[in-house]
Amino acid sequence: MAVRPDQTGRLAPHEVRAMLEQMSAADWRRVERFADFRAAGLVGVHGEDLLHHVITKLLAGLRTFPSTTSTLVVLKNAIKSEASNVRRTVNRGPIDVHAEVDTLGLDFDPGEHAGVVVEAVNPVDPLRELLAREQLDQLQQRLEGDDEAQLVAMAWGEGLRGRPAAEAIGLDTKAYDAARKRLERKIAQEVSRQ
Amino acid sequence: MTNTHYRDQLDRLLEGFFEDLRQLSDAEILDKESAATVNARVAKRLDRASAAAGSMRLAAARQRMSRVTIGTKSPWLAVSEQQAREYILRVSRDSRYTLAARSLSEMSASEILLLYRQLKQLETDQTPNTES
Repeated sequence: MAVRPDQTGRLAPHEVRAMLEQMSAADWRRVERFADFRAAGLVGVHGEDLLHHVITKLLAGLRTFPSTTSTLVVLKNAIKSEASNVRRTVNRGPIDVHAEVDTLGLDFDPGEHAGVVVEAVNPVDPLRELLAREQLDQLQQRLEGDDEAQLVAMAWGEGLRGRPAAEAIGLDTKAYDAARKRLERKIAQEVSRQ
Repeated sequence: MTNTHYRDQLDRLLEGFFEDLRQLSDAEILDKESAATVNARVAKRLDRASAAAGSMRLAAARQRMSRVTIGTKSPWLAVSEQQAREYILRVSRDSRYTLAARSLSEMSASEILLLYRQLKQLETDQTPNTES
């Protein structure tokens, strides 16, 4: 089904549903695994919660779905963004009026909603820094005892991937792949999906 | 010591994991699960999200309405069209307000009443103790 974005380059909500339905099962598994990974360390939040939150906002038109971006990347970016909002909400209370959104919208919590928010423009937000550090620390704790998996996480944290990451941490391809898989298994929460 | 923010570091870690997922083959990523099972789960997920999105849109619409709707307890809602026209005519001569140069006679009753309410709201906002 072809979709035609409006003049702003965004998809309408019904077109968003079409794009989501068209995404392959394999890409959906990538999204699920990424959501689980991202949710690791978020108190009381599972990957499926993040996914529901993100998709709901996309379908409601409260989060932009750029017409020129693949569905997989749209979801990935949205998951990253919403996880930060959820983490800040848990830290501050039920209503997060400073949640960062890409367009005008409401912060949605079932049963209540905040007012219209303006995107916060603060390149160094102390709270976000603290939360990021906490999550990094928690990730490292989960990898305790597995030096190679810890090294892979550190390499990724420095922006290294694939062969350059393996070379930087002194692992051959096979050992790197094995460590990478252990990294994900140790971090991603086991979610019972229906 | 580099001036690297933890947030940036976390972001790079997440991007690294994402790229890792993209490089896996479809068979590897699906592992032991069939595409049909995944698709069935996705369908349920989208249905749940669609229902929630409907509630969200309704909440958003209600909030927009509450911002443009004059309070139902405002006393100056109970006014006739004629009274509203007379008021608007007086206001149009007030230098504090700028009204579009459109004849009152061209405006419908509903337009007159809406303009009246907007002007009364403006008046109330500017002088809270002003009697209507």
